[in-house]
Amino acid sequence: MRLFRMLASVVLVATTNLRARWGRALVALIAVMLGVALVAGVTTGYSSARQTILDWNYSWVGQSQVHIQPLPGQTVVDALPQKLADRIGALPGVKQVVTRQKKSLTIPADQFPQGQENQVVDGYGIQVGGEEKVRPSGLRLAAGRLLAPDGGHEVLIEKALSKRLGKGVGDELVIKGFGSNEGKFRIVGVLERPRLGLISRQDLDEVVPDLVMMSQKDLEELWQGFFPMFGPGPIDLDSIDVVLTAASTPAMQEADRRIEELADSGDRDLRLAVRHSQIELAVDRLDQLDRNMRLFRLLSRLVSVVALLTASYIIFTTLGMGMVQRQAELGMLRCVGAGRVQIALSTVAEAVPIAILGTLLGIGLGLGAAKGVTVYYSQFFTRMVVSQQGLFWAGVGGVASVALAVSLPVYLATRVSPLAASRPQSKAMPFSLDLAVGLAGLGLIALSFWLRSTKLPWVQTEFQAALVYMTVGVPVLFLGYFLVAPLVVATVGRAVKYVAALLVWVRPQLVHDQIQTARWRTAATFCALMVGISMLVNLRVHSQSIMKGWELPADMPPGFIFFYPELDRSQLDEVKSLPDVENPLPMMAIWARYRPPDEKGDHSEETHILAGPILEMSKLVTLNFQEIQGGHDGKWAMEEFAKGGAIFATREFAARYNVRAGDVAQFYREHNYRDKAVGLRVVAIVEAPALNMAIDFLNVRDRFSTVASGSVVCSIVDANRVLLQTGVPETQAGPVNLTDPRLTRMLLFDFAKGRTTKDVAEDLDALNSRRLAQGHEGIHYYAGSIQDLLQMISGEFEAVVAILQKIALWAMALASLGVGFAMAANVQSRRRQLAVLRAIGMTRFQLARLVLAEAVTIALIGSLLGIIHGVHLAVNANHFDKHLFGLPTKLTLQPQTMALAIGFAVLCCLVASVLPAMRAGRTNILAALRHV
Amino acid sequence: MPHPYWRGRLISEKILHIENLVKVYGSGSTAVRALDGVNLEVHSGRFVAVMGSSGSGKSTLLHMIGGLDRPSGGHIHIRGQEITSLSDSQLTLFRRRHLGIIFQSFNLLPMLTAEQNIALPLMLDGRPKREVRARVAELMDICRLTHRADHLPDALSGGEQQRVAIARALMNEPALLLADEPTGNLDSSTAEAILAFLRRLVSDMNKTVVMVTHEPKAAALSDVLVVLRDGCIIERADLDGSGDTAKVIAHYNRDM
Repeated sequence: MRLFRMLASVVLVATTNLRARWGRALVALIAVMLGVALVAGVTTGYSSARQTILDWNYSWVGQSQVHIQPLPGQTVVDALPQKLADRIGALPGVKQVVTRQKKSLTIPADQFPQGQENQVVDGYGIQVGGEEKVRPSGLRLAAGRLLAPDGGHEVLIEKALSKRLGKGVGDELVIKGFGSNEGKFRIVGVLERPRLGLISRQDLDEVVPDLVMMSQKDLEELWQGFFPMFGPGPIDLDSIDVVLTAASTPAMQEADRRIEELADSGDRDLRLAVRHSQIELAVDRLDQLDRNMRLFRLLSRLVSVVALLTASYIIFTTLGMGMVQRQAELGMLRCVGAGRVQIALSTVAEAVPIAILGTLLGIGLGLGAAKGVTVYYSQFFTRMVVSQQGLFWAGVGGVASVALAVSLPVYLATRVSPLAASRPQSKAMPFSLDLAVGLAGLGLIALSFWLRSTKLPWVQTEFQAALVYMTVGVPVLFLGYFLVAPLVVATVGRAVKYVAALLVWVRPQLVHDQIQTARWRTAATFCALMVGISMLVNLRVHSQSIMKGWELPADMPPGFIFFYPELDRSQLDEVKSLPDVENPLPMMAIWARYRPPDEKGDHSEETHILAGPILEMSKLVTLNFQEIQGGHDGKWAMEEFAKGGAIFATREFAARYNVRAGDVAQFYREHNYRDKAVGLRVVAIVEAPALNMAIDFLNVRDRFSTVASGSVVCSIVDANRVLLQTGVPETQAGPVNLTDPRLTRMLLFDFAKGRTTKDVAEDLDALNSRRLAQGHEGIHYYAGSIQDLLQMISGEFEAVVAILQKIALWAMALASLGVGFAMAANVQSRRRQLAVLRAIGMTRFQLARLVLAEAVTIALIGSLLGIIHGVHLAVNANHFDKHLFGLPTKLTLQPQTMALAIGFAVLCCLVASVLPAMRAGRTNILAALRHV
Repeated sequence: MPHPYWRGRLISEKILHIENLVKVYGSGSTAVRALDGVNLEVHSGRFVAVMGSSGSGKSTLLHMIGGLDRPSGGHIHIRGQEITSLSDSQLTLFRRRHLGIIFQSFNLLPMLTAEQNIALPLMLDGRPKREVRARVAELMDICRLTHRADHLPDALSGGEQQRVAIARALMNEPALLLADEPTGNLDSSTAEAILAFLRRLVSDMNKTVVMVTHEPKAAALSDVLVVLRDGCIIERADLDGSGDTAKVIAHYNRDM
């Protein structure tokens, strides 16, 4: 009971102190709140983006446990027989089979309000009642209703198409199918099409056609007669979704095995269908999704850690400043018998409500902001998903950051001597202590280096290493810089004060006095600023390093056309002969998975494969040979490459999978073709700084769903072998013709004289009109120039960097709160000194300038350390880019970046110090001199 | 009934006993001997004034007695308890229960009311609320602060603030009350009232007070005058507490 009463007295002191000094408490509260809000917001944003991608995936591949679709290019019609769906439906453990058909349809020009041309759309024949179950996110209604089970000639159309048509629910729509088949449909619903923000870009909209959905019966009618020999009847399937009675991983694997066994049932159709299909399990899809979300995860981890560290610095500054201000009070408490533990508890009791309230408010604010973003950008986010793990870490992080920030002030408070009651003046820390602590800080920075470059025993992959570094290495690095800060003030501060004094025109000695006697306070103040600046510098230096790392070869063809789906030989020939296309150079960029020789580790990351004629490859990327099989020269390697069955592997790929020149690398795409992986001999290890980036940006379809570990280069024929997987398609007899590129996704070319992208696009449109008139499908393309590509790349980088820069600016704004408070506390604690200066003739304006000079000094030192810190972070980011994503980088420091960082820091500090400076200027001489 | 002045002196107890007290600041050539072999005895119910010029060691002596600082050598006994050998926590407990300290700058906690400031030592000791309330009420009555109970220090005059500080110092019924220039921040009439109050504490309540001051007028109210110079006691004179300033000045000047 007595102990309880003793604690109650401590709480009374703490709570009254909080009430009395509410301004300080408010600053700390805001710091915690914003830090936690950022964590909650970022993690919720991450979860929501993940869910959006999931929804996006599900809208195409379904939410079933097993999804089967034909491998492109394997058969004439790229379809699965209904027979396969029936047999799968009869397998044990299968609850339901939902099928989907897809065919190209045409909406006649007269259906559009202003004489547009016929538009090709993707027509889906869905199993009414089943589709909604496996693909609910693909059937999000913007208006109207879904298809009725007994309704005929009803159609659902995409919102964008609805706008273009100027038609909505209840309107009639004429749709053409094969040949002269035509049907009149009633629009019963308008669909929202879930898209991830980046995927909704205009260029992809042009590539991916709009969709319409109808019953399978209606689609069959529109495509009646395509196979005259079969007569009317069900058309082949685009996909089969299998819902199992048990959704467990073993059940999915068992179903997968049983489906593959159907190939051995003796039925030729089933054998071909199974061999030519890709069977995808939900568990693998989620696994792949998580791989693809790595960059987001890393970024969200980094942003969260930095936000909490910034909050921590500010709380430390405000509470630490409080300790300095309250030395006499604490000394008095010690005089009247308060023990060290009681003093410590009193300080902790002040922080507890800040931690709890700040965390709760922060979580609320973060979720509110995330909700706002998902509602405002509803076209990019299908829904908001609260990450429970994120909230947990936001809560723990909020409390931990307060605990971290309060630990030193608590310690300092317990060390306050009772003598402070009569002699509260704080003494400057000895330089030897600055030196010792600075050396400890350098040790921590070295430890952070070690953490980055050493693979810890329990860390399995590069990604885990990156996550560990973001969680442990980054805080260690920040702490290291924090500890170095007082030493920097003691050394560099002496020089910087002259610059600051010159800027605001005051005597340097006056500035020096304050900065040097309160080095630790100054250091704590600018550390919060340093975090923001370092983020800003890091982002800019990092993005510039990436841009610089990808240098295009000088003779790269200026134009390119991207095709989706890939072109076959005859289509390619037609495109090659377009009047405005010269020197066409077909290229492919695909992804595949590397199969390790030991067969361990079920799924390796995806590897980018760039394919093209070897002699022309140098026009796209610069290849530097590092190691060649058998010590041969580059000419030999290129000859081997041209023969086929050979690849060049990038250094990142070789390091990732421990592959040497001369080894055979096995590649496969879908796990059910794992056993039939295509072996390609690594004839050379190359350094190709632009390769990963080139592939990434050329491979538009897969770019957002593929995260690669290194790249390889091969011929188009070999790429097709990997793409087709079985090596020799069963529909074709004889060996593969190594000179016949069957599927081409990319065509580089020179523009005919005076011609532009627009002319080439017109050529392609004309070609499509001819093809459609002849009853062929149109070619889906995206034509552009390398200039467009460069703008696209830089635009995208700038967009991402701009978002991250906003976070950095948030950190800076947060930091300026701390600076403002620190300056106000400085002014308060120096009232007497300021009064003396006034008494001996200093004007109000001069006093105000003195305070501003200190703020500028803090800004200059803070930005100096922030720049070093930011460059350090950028070096780390470049390291992870290279090792994790295979992105080439070249450290690039631009003077503008440094100037921007310094300028912004000075501005922040000046703005934050205006009020304290005005307050200093208004110091009442008599009152201040009376006040002790 | 004896005259209040004599009350307590009739059964005098040795409250403070200082033996060869030494305090050295710094080391080597820069060492300063703030106290250099101080010996002093103070009995209960006595009002001791410590005078000396600036830097003579008078505040240092008070800090040593109050356990606020550690001596370099010698011993301090308060009510028979040797305090220089106590650990930090033991010393804290000793201060909490046996000593009262008053400062020139009052040192009230600005966010607590007068009543809460006074109650603080017993609250920190975990005493029952009823006991604390009763003691606070008694002291507020003695110090004539009842009408200011709920006021924050900022709202009090200098004299009232110092009376709150004195009440707080008396809260634990200390064996020894230490006052470091308690009137240094007060105007003359308020200072007189505070000194008279301290005098009454000794005379009427048998408290023992050791007060550091540089004002002869304040020292004139004490029973014993101790004059320090260069860390040594150079004069110890019995006064009668009558307020005879001339006598104090004479003792002080003779030795200075």
